[in-house]
Amino acid sequence: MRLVREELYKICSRRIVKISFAAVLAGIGLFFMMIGPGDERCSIGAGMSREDYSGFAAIAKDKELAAEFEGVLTDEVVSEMAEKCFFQEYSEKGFATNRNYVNTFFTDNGLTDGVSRGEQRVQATRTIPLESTAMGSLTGESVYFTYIRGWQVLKDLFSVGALMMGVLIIIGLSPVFSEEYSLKTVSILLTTAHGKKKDIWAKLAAGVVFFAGVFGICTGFMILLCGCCYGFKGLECFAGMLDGSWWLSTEWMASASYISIGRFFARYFLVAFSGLLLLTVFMSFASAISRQNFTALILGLIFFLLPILLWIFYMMSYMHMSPRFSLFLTRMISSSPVYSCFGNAIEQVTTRTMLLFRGVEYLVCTVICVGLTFRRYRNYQG
Amino acid sequence: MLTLELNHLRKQYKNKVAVADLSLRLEEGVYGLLGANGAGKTTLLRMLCDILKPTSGSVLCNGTEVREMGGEYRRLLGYLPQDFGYYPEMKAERYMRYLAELKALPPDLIRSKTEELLRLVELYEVRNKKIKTFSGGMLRRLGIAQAMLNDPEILILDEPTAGLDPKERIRFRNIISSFSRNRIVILSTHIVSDVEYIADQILLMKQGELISQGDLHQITEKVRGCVWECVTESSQAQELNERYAISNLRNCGEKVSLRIVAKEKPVEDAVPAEPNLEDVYLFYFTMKAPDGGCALGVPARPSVQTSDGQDGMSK
Repeated sequence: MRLVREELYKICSRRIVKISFAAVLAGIGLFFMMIGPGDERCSIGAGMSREDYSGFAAIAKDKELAAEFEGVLTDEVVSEMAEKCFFQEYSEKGFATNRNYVNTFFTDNGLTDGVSRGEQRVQATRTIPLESTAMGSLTGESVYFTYIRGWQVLKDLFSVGALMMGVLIIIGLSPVFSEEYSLKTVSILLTTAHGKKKDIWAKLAAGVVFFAGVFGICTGFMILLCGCCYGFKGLECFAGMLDGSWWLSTEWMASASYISIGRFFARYFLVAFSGLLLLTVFMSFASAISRQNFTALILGLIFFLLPILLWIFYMMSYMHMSPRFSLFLTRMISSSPVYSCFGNAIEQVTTRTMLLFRGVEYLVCTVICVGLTFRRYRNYQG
Repeated sequence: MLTLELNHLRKQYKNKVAVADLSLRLEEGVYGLLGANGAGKTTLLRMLCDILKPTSGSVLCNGTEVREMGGEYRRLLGYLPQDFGYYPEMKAERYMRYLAELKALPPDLIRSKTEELLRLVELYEVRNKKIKTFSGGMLRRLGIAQAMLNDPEILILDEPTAGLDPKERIRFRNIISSFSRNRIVILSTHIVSDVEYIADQILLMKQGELISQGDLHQITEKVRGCVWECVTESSQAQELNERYAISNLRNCGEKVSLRIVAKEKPVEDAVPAEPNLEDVYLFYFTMKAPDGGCALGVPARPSVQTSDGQDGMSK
């Protein structure tokens, strides 16, 4: 345990790690302000009597507005929402000019005859019965409405925050083994009693503890930012409410089961955690095979970002692939660390086969990386 | 009694043989390993430390292959490499404690042992300073201290005194001498006087082979009759300097007193002199002239005692 502590100290005491960690927290804070309070708009009323709010004032007004309709969603409630908050109107550029939390909710979740998806904008004229909407038919359960804007922001914030964590892990863990080569300390370490076995485990464990610490602090920071600004309510609500426009456009959800926001985030964090854990294990391996920290850093970045290039390659040539290979490739890409952080998170965390594929892939990769790390480091020949 | 046996140990890098079929039995005592650059000393020591895998042959500790012993062997080992690696941002005390953990010292002993050794190498006062602020000599002392942390029964020191000033070197020699009782200490160095003072056995390596072995007396006896002293004119001294290995040159008024290593009498009035280890070094590592002289690869230069007490010829 003390060896793990010492190895952890070596990782955390590097100036670049401290600076990077501070930069990640600052980046998360900045991004939160951009997509959160900085982007909030709330319009109440119509015509000449319309009042527009922005920033924290908009959040407060949206909360008040949502509180009026809080409860189980019914056709009557949706009609009342439309009556009080009006249908969204769009500018020439496609921006909603009178948006607020409530009319965004019933527009994005397809509870009107209007369309607001991608580039498409069709002004709504009426609400439609809940049972004939995708939301009503897909959930199979009653939908509870409340103010969940904070969780929507958290979902987007976490995607970017997890990417930043990935980069921090690459920076922090690239020297774990390679530094011993470049500083020439390896000759001493390998002649100590624990140098060829226990210390290697200690380095690996310190890497995992470092990652867990980064993940815990950054995730906690993001939850705290969103929670303090928007409130912590709505964890029991339907996860589809987080991103209605995406939710309605996917076919696979027809077979998916109801999932609450709380459960969604538990799984989402788990998926991102496991993806970044794989990155952590890979970094140990990359560090063990690199004589310089910089080489390990580059290897880590390639491993982390390569799936994005693979995805571009896939999009360009999937027509020429066999269905089986295409499926294998998409699953491999979506279970990579980088796509664990962002992308089709709802699909990733709700489909059982995806989780199974991911589990097997991670286990195999972990065993290979740890085995090769041991082999490479303990057989160092100078 | 601890023994280390090297059986037909060989290390080859592609076409270069670094250590060639070396067999040796080491028992308790201080062994001084002498040799020129590239003689294979460091390769040999790294194989002894089980860092480097031999191409063939084996190293046995008390009859057991050291690779099989693994951690048990490394518990007996203390090693100071030629390129002493350290963590620049770490403080000296933390570095020592970290290595004490790695060397499996009992937790209650770590603090006291660290303190004791830092005091021994006179680094206790700077124990809370970052290692990157240390001078070359301080780094070397820290390296020596870490090698002794686990009271090793086999202590392997590669160039331990490089960068130490005369006072530090004397101190180091005393530490090693007092430490060496009931242990195997192997000391690789270019500095002949270090070996001369503390080594019980001297091992001379050249091109991967052990060319001579014995105590100081046995080793120097081998070059008896090849060391000469003479006093000549300065013009003749210049000529002799170019033809022979001169282990010492001293101006005596108008004349020059020379100490020459050569198989044959270099000048008529030269008289045989009592050989020392520097002469042995010059004899084995510089003699190649066909006329029996000791021409060096570069024009022969006299041995000059430098301010740090090191031999100018030794490098």
